[in-house]
Amino acid sequence: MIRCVRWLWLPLDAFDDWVRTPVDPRPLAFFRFWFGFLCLVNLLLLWNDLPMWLGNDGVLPPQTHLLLQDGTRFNFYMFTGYNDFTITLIRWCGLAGGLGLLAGFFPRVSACAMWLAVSSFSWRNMNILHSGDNLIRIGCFFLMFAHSGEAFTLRRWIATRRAGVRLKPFRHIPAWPQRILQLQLCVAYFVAGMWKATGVAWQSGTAVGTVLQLGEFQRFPIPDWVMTPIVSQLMTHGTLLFELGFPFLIWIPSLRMPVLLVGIVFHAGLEWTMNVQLFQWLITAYYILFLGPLFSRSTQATAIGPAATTAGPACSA
Amino acid sequence: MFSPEPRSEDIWVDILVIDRNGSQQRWPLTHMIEMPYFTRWQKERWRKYCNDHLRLDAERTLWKPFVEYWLRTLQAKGHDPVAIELTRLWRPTQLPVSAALRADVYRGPWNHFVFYRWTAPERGPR
Repeated sequence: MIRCVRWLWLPLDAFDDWVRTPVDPRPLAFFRFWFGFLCLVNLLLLWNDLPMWLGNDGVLPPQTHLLLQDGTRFNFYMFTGYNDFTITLIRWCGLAGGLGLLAGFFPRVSACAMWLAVSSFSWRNMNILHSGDNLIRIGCFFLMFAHSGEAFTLRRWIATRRAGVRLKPFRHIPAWPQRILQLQLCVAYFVAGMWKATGVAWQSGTAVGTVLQLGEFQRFPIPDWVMTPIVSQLMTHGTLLFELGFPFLIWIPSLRMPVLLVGIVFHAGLEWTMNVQLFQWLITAYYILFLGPLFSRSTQATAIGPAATTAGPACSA
Repeated sequence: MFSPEPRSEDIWVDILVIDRNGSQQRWPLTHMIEMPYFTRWQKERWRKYCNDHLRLDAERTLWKPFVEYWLRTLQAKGHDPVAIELTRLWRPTQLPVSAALRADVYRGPWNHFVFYRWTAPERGPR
Protein backbone atom coordinates (compact mmCIF):
# COMPACT_ATOMS: atom_id res chain seq x y z
CA MET A 1 0.00 0.00 0.00
CA ILE A 2 2.76 2.41 1.01
CA ARG A 3 4.67 1.46 -2.14
CA CYS A 4 1.61 2.22 -4.23
CA VAL A 5 1.19 5.64 -2.64
CA ARG A 6 4.88 6.36 -3.20
CA TRP A 7 4.56 5.35 -6.82
CA LEU A 8 1.61 7.69 -7.24
CA TRP A 9 3.54 10.44 -5.50
CA LEU A 10 6.46 10.27 -7.92
CA PRO A 11 4.94 12.33 -10.76
CA LEU A 12 3.83 15.00 -8.30
CA ASP A 13 7.34 15.15 -6.86
CA ALA A 14 8.79 15.39 -10.34
CA PHE A 15 6.39 18.20 -11.22
CA ASP A 16 7.28 20.00 -8.02
CA ASP A 17 10.98 19.71 -8.87
CA TRP A 18 10.38 20.91 -12.38
CA VAL A 19 8.62 24.03 -11.14
CA ARG A 20 10.99 24.75 -8.27
CA THR A 21 14.44 23.94 -9.66
CA PRO A 22 16.08 27.20 -10.76
CA VAL A 23 16.92 27.51 -14.45
CA ASP A 24 19.32 29.18 -16.86
CA PRO A 25 18.14 32.81 -17.16
CA ARG A 26 18.95 33.20 -20.85
CA PRO A 27 15.85 31.68 -22.49
CA LEU A 28 13.54 33.89 -20.42
CA ALA A 29 15.78 36.94 -20.93
CA PHE A 30 15.89 36.40 -24.68
CA PHE A 31 12.12 35.91 -24.68
CA ARG A 32 11.75 39.24 -22.82
CA PHE A 33 13.95 40.98 -25.40
CA TRP A 34 12.13 39.66 -28.49
CA PHE A 35 8.70 39.87 -26.85
CA GLY A 36 9.39 43.51 -25.90
CA PHE A 37 10.24 44.29 -29.52
CA LEU A 38 6.97 42.70 -30.71
CA CYS A 39 5.00 44.61 -28.06
CA LEU A 40 6.51 47.82 -29.40
CA VAL A 41 5.58 46.97 -33.00
CA ASN A 42 2.05 46.15 -31.85
CA LEU A 43 1.80 49.50 -30.09
CA LEU A 44 3.21 51.46 -33.02
CA LEU A 45 0.71 49.82 -35.39
CA LEU A 46 -2.06 51.08 -33.12
CA TRP A 47 -0.55 54.46 -32.32
CA ASN A 48 -2.28 56.68 -34.89
CA ASP A 49 -5.62 54.87 -34.70
CA LEU A 50 -5.96 54.99 -30.91
CA PRO A 51 -8.17 58.13 -30.84
CA MET A 52 -10.51 56.47 -33.35
CA TRP A 53 -10.71 53.19 -31.40
CA LEU A 54 -10.67 54.54 -27.85
CA GLY A 55 -11.54 58.24 -27.96
CA ASN A 56 -14.77 59.71 -26.68
CA ASP A 57 -15.36 60.99 -30.23
CA GLY A 58 -14.25 57.72 -31.79
CA VAL A 59 -16.22 54.77 -33.13
CA LEU A 60 -17.13 53.57 -29.64
CA PRO A 61 -18.27 56.52 -27.51
CA PRO A 62 -18.69 56.00 -23.75
CA GLN A 63 -22.49 55.59 -23.86
CA THR A 64 -22.16 52.71 -26.37
CA HIS A 65 -19.22 51.18 -24.52
CA LEU A 66 -21.23 51.18 -21.29
CA LEU A 67 -23.85 49.03 -23.01
CA LEU A 68 -21.29 46.49 -24.18
CA GLN A 69 -18.76 46.13 -21.38
CA ASP A 70 -19.27 43.61 -18.62
CA GLY A 71 -17.90 45.37 -15.56
CA THR A 72 -14.76 47.20 -14.57
CA ARG A 73 -11.33 45.62 -14.82
CA PHE A 74 -8.01 46.82 -13.52
CA ASN A 75 -6.69 49.32 -16.06
CA PHE A 76 -6.10 53.05 -16.52
CA TYR A 77 -9.77 53.77 -17.19
CA MET A 78 -10.56 52.65 -13.66
CA PHE A 79 -8.76 55.76 -12.42
CA THR A 80 -9.30 58.23 -15.25
CA GLY A 81 -12.86 57.43 -16.30
CA TYR A 82 -13.77 58.02 -19.94
CA ASN A 83 -11.10 60.56 -20.62
CA ASP A 84 -9.08 61.07 -23.79
CA PHE A 85 -6.00 61.77 -21.69
CA THR A 86 -5.94 57.99 -21.09
CA ILE A 87 -4.90 57.54 -24.72
CA THR A 88 -1.76 59.56 -23.98
CA LEU A 89 -1.16 57.42 -20.89
CA ILE A 90 -1.56 54.21 -22.92
CA ARG A 91 0.81 55.46 -25.60
CA TRP A 92 3.64 56.60 -23.36
CA CYS A 93 3.28 53.91 -20.74
CA GLY A 94 3.27 51.26 -23.48
CA LEU A 95 6.27 52.85 -25.19
CA ALA A 96 8.25 53.01 -21.93
CA GLY A 97 7.26 49.43 -21.10
CA GLY A 98 8.20 48.11 -24.53
CA LEU A 99 11.57 49.87 -24.54
CA GLY A 100 12.21 48.67 -20.99
CA LEU A 101 11.48 45.06 -21.94
CA LEU A 102 13.65 45.35 -25.02
CA ALA A 103 16.60 46.80 -23.12
CA GLY A 104 16.10 44.82 -19.92
CA PHE A 105 15.79 48.09 -18.01
CA PHE A 106 13.68 47.51 -14.86
CA PRO A 107 12.03 44.61 -16.67
CA ARG A 108 9.37 43.96 -14.03
CA VAL A 109 8.21 47.57 -13.97
CA SER A 110 8.36 47.61 -17.76
CA ALA A 111 6.23 44.47 -18.01
CA CYS A 112 3.76 46.06 -15.62
CA ALA A 113 3.61 49.24 -17.74
CA MET A 114 3.04 47.30 -20.96
CA TRP A 115 0.44 45.09 -19.29
CA LEU A 116 -1.44 48.16 -18.06
CA ALA A 117 -1.35 49.76 -21.50
CA VAL A 118 -2.61 46.61 -23.26
CA SER A 119 -5.23 45.88 -20.60
CA SER A 120 -6.51 49.43 -20.92
CA PHE A 121 -7.03 49.43 -24.66
CA SER A 122 -8.38 45.86 -24.47
CA TRP A 123 -11.04 46.92 -22.01
CA ARG A 124 -11.95 50.14 -23.81
CA ASN A 125 -12.53 48.49 -27.18
CA MET A 126 -12.52 44.71 -27.13
CA ASN A 127 -13.83 44.55 -30.70
CA ILE A 128 -10.39 45.29 -32.11
CA LEU A 129 -8.49 42.60 -30.24
CA HIS A 130 -6.81 39.61 -31.83
CA SER A 131 -5.27 36.57 -30.17
CA GLY A 132 -1.87 38.28 -30.26
CA ASP A 133 -3.14 40.83 -27.73
CA ASN A 134 -4.03 38.00 -25.36
CA LEU A 135 -0.53 36.55 -25.72
CA ILE A 136 0.92 39.97 -24.95
CA ARG A 137 -1.26 40.41 -21.87
CA ILE A 138 -0.41 36.97 -20.53
CA GLY A 139 3.29 37.30 -21.31
CA CYS A 140 3.56 40.71 -19.63
CA PHE A 141 1.64 39.52 -16.60
CA PHE A 142 4.06 36.69 -15.84
CA LEU A 143 7.12 38.77 -16.75
CA MET A 144 6.08 41.00 -13.85
CA PHE A 145 7.08 38.18 -11.50
CA ALA A 146 10.07 36.83 -13.41
CA HIS A 147 13.79 37.50 -13.13
CA SER A 148 14.06 38.32 -16.81
CA GLY A 149 16.77 40.95 -16.47
CA GLU A 150 19.67 38.59 -15.77
CA ALA A 151 20.85 38.44 -19.37
CA PHE A 152 20.50 40.23 -22.72
CA THR A 153 20.25 43.66 -21.13
CA LEU A 154 21.56 46.93 -22.48
CA ARG A 155 23.45 47.53 -19.23
CA ARG A 156 25.26 44.21 -19.50
CA TRP A 157 26.04 44.79 -23.16
CA ILE A 158 27.52 48.24 -22.47
CA ALA A 159 29.55 46.86 -19.57
CA THR A 160 30.96 44.14 -21.83
CA ARG A 161 31.88 46.69 -24.51
CA ARG A 162 33.51 49.04 -22.02
CA ALA A 163 35.37 46.58 -19.89
CA GLY A 164 36.24 44.17 -22.65
CA VAL A 165 36.43 41.50 -20.02
CA ARG A 166 34.22 38.56 -19.21
CA LEU A 167 31.40 39.40 -16.86
CA LYS A 168 30.17 37.41 -13.92
CA PRO A 169 28.42 34.22 -14.96
CA PHE A 170 24.64 34.24 -15.10
CA ARG A 171 22.74 33.46 -11.93
CA HIS A 172 20.11 30.78 -12.12
CA ILE A 173 16.59 32.12 -11.65
CA PRO A 174 13.32 30.78 -10.22
CA ALA A 175 11.68 28.66 -12.86
CA TRP A 176 7.99 29.05 -12.14
CA PRO A 177 7.15 32.10 -14.31
CA GLN A 178 8.88 30.45 -17.27
CA ARG A 179 7.08 27.18 -16.54
CA ILE A 180 3.71 28.90 -16.47
CA LEU A 181 4.41 30.58 -19.79
CA GLN A 182 5.49 27.25 -21.30
CA LEU A 183 2.32 25.59 -20.01
CA GLN A 184 0.27 28.52 -21.28
CA LEU A 185 1.52 27.90 -24.81
CA CYS A 186 0.70 24.19 -24.53
CA VAL A 187 -2.80 24.94 -23.22
CA ALA A 188 -3.38 27.45 -26.03
CA TYR A 189 -2.44 24.89 -28.69
CA PHE A 190 -4.40 22.11 -27.03
CA VAL A 191 -7.60 24.12 -26.61
CA ALA A 192 -7.35 25.41 -30.19
CA GLY A 193 -6.82 21.86 -31.45
CA MET A 194 -9.64 20.38 -29.40
CA TRP A 195 -12.04 23.08 -30.49
CA LYS A 196 -11.13 22.58 -34.13
CA ALA A 197 -11.48 18.81 -33.79
CA THR A 198 -15.18 19.24 -33.03
CA GLY A 199 -15.81 21.05 -36.33
CA VAL A 200 -17.20 19.21 -39.35
CA ALA A 201 -14.90 21.01 -41.82
CA TRP A 202 -11.84 20.08 -39.77
CA GLN A 203 -12.94 16.47 -39.53
CA SER A 204 -13.70 16.20 -43.24
CA GLY A 205 -10.43 17.88 -44.26
CA THR A 206 -11.99 20.83 -46.08
CA ALA A 207 -11.25 23.56 -43.52
CA VAL A 208 -7.97 24.84 -44.99
CA GLY A 209 -9.39 24.82 -48.53
CA THR A 210 -12.31 26.93 -47.27
CA VAL A 211 -10.09 29.37 -45.38
CA LEU A 212 -7.90 29.90 -48.44
CA GLN A 213 -10.97 31.17 -50.32
CA LEU A 214 -11.49 33.98 -47.81
CA GLY A 215 -10.11 37.14 -49.33
CA GLU A 216 -10.40 38.99 -46.04
CA PHE A 217 -7.53 36.90 -44.63
CA GLN A 218 -5.37 36.33 -47.67
CA ARG A 219 -1.96 37.85 -47.59
CA PHE A 220 0.56 36.82 -50.26
CA PRO A 221 -0.45 34.73 -53.28
CA ILE A 222 -0.38 30.98 -52.83
CA PRO A 223 0.63 28.46 -55.49
CA ASP A 224 -2.15 26.65 -57.35
CA TRP A 225 -1.10 23.20 -56.13
CA VAL A 226 -2.10 24.21 -52.60
CA MET A 227 -5.69 24.70 -53.77
CA THR A 228 -6.44 21.03 -54.36
CA PRO A 229 -8.65 18.75 -52.26
CA ILE A 230 -5.80 16.41 -51.32
CA VAL A 231 -3.46 19.19 -50.17
CA SER A 232 -6.33 20.86 -48.33
CA GLN A 233 -7.00 17.59 -46.52
CA LEU A 234 -3.34 17.09 -45.67
CA MET A 235 -3.01 20.61 -44.31
CA THR A 236 -6.27 20.44 -42.36
CA HIS A 237 -5.38 17.21 -40.62
CA GLY A 238 -1.76 18.31 -40.28
CA THR A 239 -2.93 21.39 -38.39
CA LEU A 240 -4.99 19.24 -36.03
CA LEU A 241 -2.10 16.85 -35.48
CA PHE A 242 0.31 19.68 -34.78
CA GLU A 243 -1.95 21.57 -32.38
CA LEU A 244 -2.95 18.45 -30.47
CA GLY A 245 0.53 16.93 -30.54
CA PHE A 246 2.64 19.94 -29.58
CA PRO A 247 1.54 20.10 -25.90
CA PHE A 248 2.72 16.52 -25.34
CA LEU A 249 5.65 16.00 -27.71
CA ILE A 250 7.43 19.21 -26.69
CA TRP A 251 8.27 17.65 -23.30
CA ILE A 252 10.19 14.75 -24.83
CA PRO A 253 13.78 16.05 -24.92
CA SER A 254 14.77 14.21 -28.12
CA LEU A 255 11.69 15.54 -29.94
CA ARG A 256 11.80 19.10 -28.67
CA MET A 257 13.85 20.65 -31.49
CA PRO A 258 12.01 18.81 -34.29
CA VAL A 259 8.66 19.86 -32.79
CA LEU A 260 9.81 23.48 -32.55
CA LEU A 261 11.06 23.36 -36.14
CA VAL A 262 7.73 21.98 -37.34
CA GLY A 263 6.05 24.79 -35.39
CA ILE A 264 8.24 27.41 -37.05
CA VAL A 265 7.45 26.00 -40.51
CA PHE A 266 3.73 25.82 -39.64
CA HIS A 267 3.57 29.44 -38.46
CA ALA A 268 5.81 30.67 -41.30
CA GLY A 269 3.31 29.13 -43.72
CA LEU A 270 0.44 30.85 -41.92
CA GLU A 271 2.37 34.12 -41.92
CA TRP A 272 2.75 33.89 -45.69
CA THR A 273 -0.84 32.95 -46.46
CA MET A 274 -2.87 34.54 -43.66
CA ASN A 275 -3.12 38.16 -42.68
CA VAL A 276 -3.32 38.09 -38.89
CA GLN A 277 -0.79 40.81 -38.10
CA LEU A 278 1.60 39.81 -35.29
CA PHE A 279 0.01 36.62 -34.04
CA GLN A 280 2.48 34.20 -35.66
CA TRP A 281 5.43 36.24 -34.40
CA LEU A 282 4.06 36.39 -30.87
CA ILE A 283 3.22 32.72 -30.54
CA THR A 284 6.62 31.64 -31.89
CA ALA A 285 8.28 34.06 -29.46
CA TYR A 286 7.07 31.70 -26.73
CA TYR A 287 9.16 28.94 -28.36
CA ILE A 288 12.27 30.69 -27.02
CA LEU A 289 11.26 29.51 -23.55
CA PHE A 290 11.95 25.94 -24.64
CA LEU A 291 15.48 26.64 -25.84
CA GLY A 292 17.19 26.10 -22.49
CA PRO A 293 19.35 23.18 -23.66
CA LEU A 294 20.48 25.17 -26.70
CA PHE A 295 21.75 28.02 -24.51
CA SER A 296 23.33 25.60 -22.06
CA ARG A 297 25.17 23.86 -24.86
CA SER A 298 26.65 27.11 -26.16
CA THR A 299 28.07 28.18 -22.81
CA GLN A 300 27.41 26.53 -19.51
CA ALA A 301 25.69 28.90 -17.08
CA THR A 302 27.12 28.62 -13.62
CA ALA A 303 24.87 28.82 -10.64
CA ILE A 304 25.95 31.40 -8.12
CA GLY A 305 24.18 33.00 -5.23
CA PRO A 306 21.34 31.49 -3.24
CA ALA A 307 19.92 29.52 -6.15
CA ALA A 308 23.07 27.41 -6.33
CA THR A 309 22.23 25.58 -3.16
CA THR A 310 19.22 23.92 -4.74
CA ALA A 311 19.95 24.09 -8.42
CA GLY A 312 23.43 22.93 -9.12
CA PRO A 313 25.06 24.00 -12.36
CA ALA A 314 22.89 22.02 -14.74
CA CYS A 315 20.10 23.81 -16.58
CA SER A 316 16.84 22.23 -17.50
CA ALA A 317 14.43 23.25 -20.27
CA MET B 1 -9.01 30.93 -35.19
CA PHE B 2 -11.47 29.27 -37.55
CA SER B 3 -12.81 27.10 -34.72
CA PRO B 4 -14.88 25.09 -34.56
CA GLU B 5 -15.77 25.89 -38.20
CA PRO B 6 -14.05 28.31 -40.58
CA ARG B 7 -16.26 31.02 -42.01
CA SER B 8 -18.11 29.67 -45.02
CA GLU B 9 -18.56 33.08 -46.66
CA ASP B 10 -16.05 35.62 -47.86
CA ILE B 11 -17.19 39.03 -46.61
CA TRP B 12 -16.47 42.72 -46.57
CA VAL B 13 -18.13 45.94 -45.57
CA ASP B 14 -18.31 49.19 -47.47
CA ILE B 15 -19.56 52.68 -46.80
CA LEU B 16 -21.31 55.02 -49.24
CA VAL B 17 -21.40 58.75 -48.60
CA ILE B 18 -23.77 61.04 -50.49
CA ASP B 19 -22.93 64.72 -50.32
CA ARG B 20 -25.42 67.61 -50.44
CA ASN B 21 -24.18 68.47 -53.95
CA GLY B 22 -25.27 65.01 -55.11
CA SER B 23 -21.80 63.50 -55.42
CA GLN B 24 -21.35 59.97 -54.13
CA GLN B 25 -18.24 58.34 -52.79
CA ARG B 26 -17.86 54.69 -51.82
CA TRP B 27 -15.10 53.35 -49.58
CA PRO B 28 -14.55 49.58 -49.46
CA LEU B 29 -13.72 49.48 -45.75
CA THR B 30 -12.58 45.89 -45.51
CA HIS B 31 -12.08 44.67 -49.05
CA MET B 32 -8.67 43.49 -47.87
CA ILE B 33 -7.73 41.60 -51.03
CA GLU B 34 -7.82 44.86 -53.00
CA MET B 35 -5.48 46.63 -50.59
CA PRO B 36 -1.69 46.77 -51.01
CA TYR B 37 0.11 44.09 -48.98
CA PHE B 38 1.37 46.40 -46.26
CA THR B 39 -1.96 48.20 -45.87
CA ARG B 40 -3.94 45.01 -45.41
CA TRP B 41 -1.47 43.91 -42.72
CA GLN B 42 -1.64 47.28 -41.01
CA LYS B 43 -5.46 47.43 -41.17
CA GLU B 44 -6.05 44.06 -39.53
CA ARG B 45 -7.82 45.62 -36.54
CA TRP B 46 -10.01 47.56 -38.95
CA ARG B 47 -11.03 44.25 -40.56
CA LYS B 48 -11.63 42.75 -37.15
CA TYR B 49 -13.89 45.60 -36.07
CA CYS B 50 -15.93 45.82 -39.27
CA ASN B 51 -16.18 42.18 -40.38
CA ASP B 52 -16.43 40.47 -36.99
CA HIS B 53 -18.60 43.04 -35.20
CA LEU B 54 -19.99 46.04 -37.08
CA ARG B 55 -21.43 43.85 -39.87
CA LEU B 56 -23.59 41.79 -37.53
CA ASP B 57 -27.23 42.52 -36.72
CA ALA B 58 -26.51 41.33 -33.18
CA GLU B 59 -24.14 44.27 -32.78
CA ARG B 60 -26.40 46.98 -34.17
CA THR B 61 -25.52 49.26 -31.26
CA LEU B 62 -22.21 49.93 -33.07
CA TRP B 63 -23.80 51.22 -36.28
CA LYS B 64 -24.90 54.71 -35.28
CA PRO B 65 -21.68 55.71 -33.45
CA PHE B 66 -19.65 54.37 -36.36
CA VAL B 67 -21.52 56.47 -38.89
CA GLU B 68 -21.41 59.50 -36.61
CA TYR B 69 -17.65 59.13 -36.40
CA TRP B 70 -17.45 59.13 -40.22
CA LEU B 71 -19.75 62.11 -40.36
CA ARG B 72 -17.56 64.14 -37.99
CA THR B 73 -14.43 63.12 -39.88
CA LEU B 74 -15.91 64.05 -43.26
CA GLN B 75 -17.33 67.34 -42.00
CA ALA B 76 -13.90 68.23 -40.63
CA LYS B 77 -12.57 67.73 -44.17
CA GLY B 78 -15.17 70.10 -45.64
CA HIS B 79 -17.73 67.55 -46.87
CA ASP B 80 -21.44 67.98 -46.22
CA PRO B 81 -22.94 64.47 -46.22
CA VAL B 82 -26.71 64.09 -46.40
CA ALA B 83 -26.75 60.29 -46.34
CA ILE B 84 -24.39 57.53 -45.28
CA GLU B 85 -24.98 53.84 -45.96
CA LEU B 86 -23.24 50.81 -44.53
CA THR B 87 -23.36 47.75 -46.79
CA ARG B 88 -22.27 44.19 -46.12
CA LEU B 89 -21.17 42.04 -49.04
CA TRP B 90 -20.68 38.30 -49.08
CA ARG B 91 -20.28 35.30 -51.30
CA PRO B 92 -20.18 31.63 -50.28
CA THR B 93 -17.05 29.51 -50.42
CA GLN B 94 -17.28 26.38 -52.57
CA LEU B 95 -16.26 22.74 -52.50
CA PRO B 96 -14.35 20.92 -53.86
CA VAL B 97 -11.56 23.43 -53.60
CA SER B 98 -9.73 24.37 -56.81
CA ALA B 99 -7.15 26.91 -57.94
CA ALA B 100 -9.88 28.94 -59.67
CA LEU B 101 -11.48 29.62 -56.26
CA ARG B 102 -8.38 31.31 -54.84
CA ALA B 103 -9.47 34.58 -53.26
CA ASP B 104 -7.28 36.76 -55.48
CA VAL B 105 -8.37 34.93 -58.65
CA TYR B 106 -12.07 34.19 -58.21
CA ARG B 107 -14.35 36.83 -59.69
CA GLY B 108 -17.75 35.46 -58.67
CA PRO B 109 -20.63 37.82 -57.88
CA TRP B 110 -21.12 39.39 -54.45
CA ASN B 111 -24.42 39.50 -52.57
CA HIS B 112 -25.01 42.79 -50.83
CA PHE B 113 -27.33 44.32 -48.27
CA VAL B 114 -27.52 47.85 -46.90
CA PHE B 115 -27.71 47.26 -43.17
CA TYR B 116 -27.69 50.85 -41.93
CA ARG B 117 -28.63 54.16 -43.50
CA TRP B 118 -28.21 57.54 -41.90
CA THR B 119 -29.83 60.62 -43.40
CA ALA B 120 -29.27 64.22 -42.42
CA PRO B 121 -32.18 65.94 -40.68
CA GLU B 122 -34.15 68.24 -42.98
CA ARG B 123 -33.00 71.86 -42.91
CA GLY B 124 -35.79 74.24 -41.89
CA PRO B 125 -36.65 77.41 -43.88
CA ARG B 126 -34.12 80.21 -43.47
